[in-house]
Amino acid sequence: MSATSAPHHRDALDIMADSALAAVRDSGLSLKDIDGIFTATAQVDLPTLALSEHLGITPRYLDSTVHGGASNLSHIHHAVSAIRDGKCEAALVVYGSTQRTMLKATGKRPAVASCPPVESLYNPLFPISSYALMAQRHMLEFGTTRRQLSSVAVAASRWGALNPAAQRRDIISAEDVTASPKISSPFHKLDCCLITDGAGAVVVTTAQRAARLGRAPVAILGSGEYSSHEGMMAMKDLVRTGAAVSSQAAFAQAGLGPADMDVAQVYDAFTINTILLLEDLGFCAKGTGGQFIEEGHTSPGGRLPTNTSGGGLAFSHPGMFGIYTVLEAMTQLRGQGGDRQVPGAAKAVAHGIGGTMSAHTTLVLGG
Amino acid sequence: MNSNAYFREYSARAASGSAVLPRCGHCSTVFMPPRAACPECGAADPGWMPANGAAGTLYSFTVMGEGAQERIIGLAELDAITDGSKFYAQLLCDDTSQLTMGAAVTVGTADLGSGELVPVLTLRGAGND
Repeated sequence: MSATSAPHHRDALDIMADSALAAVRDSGLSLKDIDGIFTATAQVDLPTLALSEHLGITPRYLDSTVHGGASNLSHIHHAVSAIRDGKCEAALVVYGSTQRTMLKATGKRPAVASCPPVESLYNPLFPISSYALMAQRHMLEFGTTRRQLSSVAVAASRWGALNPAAQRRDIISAEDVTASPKISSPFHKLDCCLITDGAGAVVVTTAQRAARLGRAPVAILGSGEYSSHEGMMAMKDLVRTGAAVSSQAAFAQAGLGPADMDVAQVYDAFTINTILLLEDLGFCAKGTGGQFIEEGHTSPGGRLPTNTSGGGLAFSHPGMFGIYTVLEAMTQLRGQGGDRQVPGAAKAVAHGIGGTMSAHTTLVLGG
Repeated sequence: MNSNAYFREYSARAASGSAVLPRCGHCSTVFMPPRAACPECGAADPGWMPANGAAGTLYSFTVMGEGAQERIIGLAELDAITDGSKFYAQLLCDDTSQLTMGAAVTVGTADLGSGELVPVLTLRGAGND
């Protein structure tokens, strides 16, 4: 619990409630219609209960699944099943974090993940070092270059420059990335995501009800979830992730494939993530993700606009970025992207990860 | 931290100078990290095998800090590990230019400054044998 009483202070529950109210208003429903609550946060105890009471909701379906940044995508994946099963009809999925404020106030960042026990013997920079091991392996195995890693951060900054809500609005160069402080090789500071506050919420309901409400609903065409490990030792292949499994399930359910997607939103906590995830989602061959991004295909004007909000590297990263992959996909599918709108975006994939490439959830969405 | 009895045993044995690896008493699979059940056959309560001097090759690595503060984390494929899982430890190496995929490494124990022995990897080669 936060002890501060500064006049403009907002606790995690405050910004979660703000997002929840905005999402419900946007959906055309009222809070009284919400009968399912799905939430994960590092800062609210018994979060489904606290948030429900705070909003005056008495849910008949509660899910506080926590597996890091994939949690909110999993909530949506789980809500689809619950709604299809008749267990609830209007599900509210909420995330919120004031980790940046907390870090500044206390020197400690609230987090749901801790370093796995054997790894903790060596006090690594968790989770940065874990992703650094993946990046180094990708470089060793496929010849991915330092400049290709940098190109991921450059592309993110080009999108962030088009997003008025982005924390980082300046366009950076590959040289800026390698000029930033070394953190855990091969990573420099600008290979790593921002640390921000942030919240977001999504309402999930039946297609019929959404059609009646008439508020530009986005269809959930397919979804999939998978995990193969928690820590680095049980991740048997550091350059082939569970995204291949979760996305295959999601694409199969949707009856679509990567070639049908107009935009991709993948969880970019570190530069290597975008490379690994675009490969494993099937957008380019294994080992070629760095080249694909360096050639500009994911940048504004490219053939696969990716992380069009600026992503975790340039837009915002409030501990768990997953909800923002979904919100940005929805923004694009609804044609509300402003300067960063991808013309005619009709199909999108959102992919969340949790832990250290440990949990994977893929959503295939349609406008 | 998600501490557990198998991790505590792993650490305690290393602290007494014996690096170990979990080995399933039922199917003999050797794996990491230590846990309650064999990831291969599901048998509960795996046993241990000695790992001092266990050999393998470097799978990946990351270097943190510079100069006297420099630390390397190594992820190794050990010959003794049979399920494809990796061995994670601090890597002792005098010359980071020798860090390459497939470089020969061995398992041992060392005091890294905590006053307790922990499992470590050592790069085999010039100055490190």
